[in-house]
Amino acid sequence: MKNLRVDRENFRMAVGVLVVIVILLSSIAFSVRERHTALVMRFGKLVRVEADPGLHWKLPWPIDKLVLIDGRRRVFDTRHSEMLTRDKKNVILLSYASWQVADAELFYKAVGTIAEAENKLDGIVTNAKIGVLGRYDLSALVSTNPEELRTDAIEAEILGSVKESARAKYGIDVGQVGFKRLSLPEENIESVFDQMRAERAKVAAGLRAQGERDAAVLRAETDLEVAEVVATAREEAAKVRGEAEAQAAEIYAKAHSAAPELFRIVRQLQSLEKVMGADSTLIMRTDKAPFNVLNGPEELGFEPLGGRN
Amino acid sequence: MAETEPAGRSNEIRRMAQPAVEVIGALIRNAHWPIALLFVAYLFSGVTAVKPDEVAIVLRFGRVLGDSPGERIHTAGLLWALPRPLDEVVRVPIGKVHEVEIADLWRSSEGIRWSPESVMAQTIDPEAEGYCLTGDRNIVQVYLLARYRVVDPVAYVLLQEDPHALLRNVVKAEVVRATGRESIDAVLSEGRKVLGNTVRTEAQGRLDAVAAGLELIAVEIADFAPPTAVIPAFIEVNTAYIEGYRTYVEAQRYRETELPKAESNRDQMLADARIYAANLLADARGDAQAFEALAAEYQKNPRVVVERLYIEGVENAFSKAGRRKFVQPPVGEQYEEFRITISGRQ
Repeated sequence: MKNLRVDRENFRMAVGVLVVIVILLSSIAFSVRERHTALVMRFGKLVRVEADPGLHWKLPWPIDKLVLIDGRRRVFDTRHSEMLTRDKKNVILLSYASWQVADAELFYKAVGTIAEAENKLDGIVTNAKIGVLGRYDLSALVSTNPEELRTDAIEAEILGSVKESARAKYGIDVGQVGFKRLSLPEENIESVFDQMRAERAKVAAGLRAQGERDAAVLRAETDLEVAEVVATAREEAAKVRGEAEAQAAEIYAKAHSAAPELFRIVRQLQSLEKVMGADSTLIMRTDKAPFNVLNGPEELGFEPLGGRN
Repeated sequence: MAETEPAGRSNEIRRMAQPAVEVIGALIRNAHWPIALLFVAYLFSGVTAVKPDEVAIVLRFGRVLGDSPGERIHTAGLLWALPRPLDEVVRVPIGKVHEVEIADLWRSSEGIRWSPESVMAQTIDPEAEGYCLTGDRNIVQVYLLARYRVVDPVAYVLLQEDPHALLRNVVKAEVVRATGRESIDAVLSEGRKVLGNTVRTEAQGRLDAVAAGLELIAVEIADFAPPTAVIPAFIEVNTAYIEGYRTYVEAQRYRETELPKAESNRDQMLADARIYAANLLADARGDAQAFEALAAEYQKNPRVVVERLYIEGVENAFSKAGRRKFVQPPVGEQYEEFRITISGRQ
């Protein structure tokens, strides 16, 4: 029973000592995370800058106090701001900036908090944008001609001017600036829409006209080909007919050459027959054969009718 | 009675609480066992399992443990780390493909009314709704999908505050740039795929420039359209295209009917000509033979043949005439008076 009591007391002692050590350690040790910086302030005055990640030491509160600066790379969006290009066009550029704290001490003294830093950055980025864009036409940002485009140069110029002053004044490193939106003022939109509508109407009219032109060309080609086909057919048919007629004429000529005078008679009789129709009226003298028979048989050299008494 | 009652009740309570008090007392008396157990549990609390689709980084007092990248990054398996606050285990889901929808450059109003008046009157408030300007100063709106994954866990998780925000921004910046280079027609016709690829490559360049530790797998232009106010004009272009095409197709149809018709005409004409020729020749030969036969007869007996022919011919001819009139020959050389009335046939 006595051993147990002693054991318990030793144990309590050990636990107590451990708790005290932990409390003591926690007040004088601190860890700095990757990409963070700790500023050690002794009675409000900066005495040390611990930028290396890992374990560090300080005097306990209230002698030393810590200010932790988050030096990770972060992104910040600028506010909408309208600006004028060199060719007097209003544009609204919304940009982002990738930045990080480069000089924790300067940052702490000049800016302090992230929110304040973004406020400051917004100002210098906007100023830089206004300054740089004033030296470029709108076609440097949007153009179908690659030679006019200067987006890289504009971004680089803005970054250049921002980088310098942000580093010198606020201990901030700006790594990248980009335009994530390029807009026009609301008042200009209607005219853009009108222009778009006009362009579309032109495209539509062009498409219709092209359809009609192509169709007309095709029809004309078709008509020409049809005419050619018909014309050659007519020519060929005429040739066939002509040849046949020539052949027929030859056949006739050959036959008729056997008795030309007979042919003349036959031919005349044929045409006489051909000429005669139901509405023809024949007027004939009765003293010509064969109608002289009407005057009595004596006309044909016979004796008159009624006998010869 | 009234004075003893409370005392009796407290006794009762004490008697009822007795077992619990004894258990707690025993625990306190033997406290080193549970505390020791808790302590051991604490010592091993840093040991965790890293899942197959993630990696882990151990921070000792805030510093990344290990010198080379291979030592720093712990892959799947059991990870021995010290308990907090000495070590901190940060997990990075490296196998996961993140997908983000970017709607900033897309129309914002959901309920679009399709009446011509409201559509025509529309403008765009640049702060409320985003869009892209094309190279020929047209407005298009884009709905983007980006897929990406973490390739550098340290850069992703420790060196940046919000890499996802950066990713969205660089993709937008590159879409704005890429559309600013092209005409609206190029963008709307084959732009979608080309644009996605260009944006992916260029945005990756921006990510790498600030060592974001992210890899863009794909940028997809999920939707792509002019603003609602001018959509009717674009639909009109489609209509015009269809109409133009239809006009052309009609001409094609005309050609397809007219050419065969012409060919059949040609065939008909040739056939007619050949029929005519065949008939003509047949007649000629027949006539020739008949005449030759007659001529042979004529050679033998000319007078008889001619007379027969003459009489037959005149008979035939005269029998066809509708009216026949006979007149006496005049007494002298001339007729004194000769009158004839012909009534025309109706």
